[in-house]
Amino acid sequence: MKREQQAEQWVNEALESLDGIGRATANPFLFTRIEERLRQRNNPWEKLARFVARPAFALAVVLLFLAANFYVANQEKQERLAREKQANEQLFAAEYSTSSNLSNEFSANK
Amino acid sequence: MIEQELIEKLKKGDQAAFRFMVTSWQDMVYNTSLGLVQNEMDAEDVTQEVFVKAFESIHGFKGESKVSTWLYRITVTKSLDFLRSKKRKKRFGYIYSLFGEDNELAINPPEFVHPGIVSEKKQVAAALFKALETLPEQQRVAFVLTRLEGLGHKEVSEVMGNTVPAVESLLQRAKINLKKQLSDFYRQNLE
Repeated sequence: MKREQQAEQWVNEALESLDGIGRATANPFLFTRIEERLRQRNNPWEKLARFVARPAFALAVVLLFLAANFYVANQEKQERLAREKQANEQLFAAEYSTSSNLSNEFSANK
Repeated sequence: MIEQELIEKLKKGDQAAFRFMVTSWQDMVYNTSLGLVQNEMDAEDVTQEVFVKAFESIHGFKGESKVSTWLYRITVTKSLDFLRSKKRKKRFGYIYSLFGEDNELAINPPEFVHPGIVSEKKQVAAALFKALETLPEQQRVAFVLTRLEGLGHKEVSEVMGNTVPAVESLLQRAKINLKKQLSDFYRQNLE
């Protein structure tokens, strides 16, 4: 019981410890430091670095990379299909031409 | 200098007006930030960021609230952003350390003692500030603005964009949570 009372007293003391608290004061050279920070922020290289460091920029780069990959993969697939189609056509044409030659020979013999 | 005149000059990029703004409100911004981030160097960094942000976004300030309210809002946002980023870095540091990377875990700073507290109360106030760290963001902000900056409930509601009853409720919950944290802390010490 005594322990409980002791703890309760300390809790109340802690909560009251902010009564009459003074305001913390900033560094007297704060303005000079802010001016320097503003100067740095206006530097074009700093601006570029801040822009590149944005998560949106990183996301855009990743999306662009994925889109480029997709485009290249798709382009290769299209080219492969076109080549296969052309080969099939050539094969068909060759086959057709052979068979038409045979039929021509057959009709000549007749 | 009246506020309207100050805002007009700031919008024109007047350096003297900017200096006036910084010197007039630097302690208010620093004290609020210090209460939230609980580290003097970090609070100074946040204070600089607040005024840089204020300088860059003055054109968006419509003058619907007082300059001090506007600065309080920026301070709260920047301080909370800072705390979130610090938490993220700490978490990543921990993960890296698990994988044996050469990243050291962020060392916990010593107990924070606000410079405005009288010396005989410093030890108990340190326990209170430690407990304050465990509060949810909104409760912490309401508590700091009320107890460290001495703002009234109406002013706090304007800064936080809440209603007065919502602020009262936040403060009530903050007090209950602080009591619980402190009570647990002292009971452990007594065992």
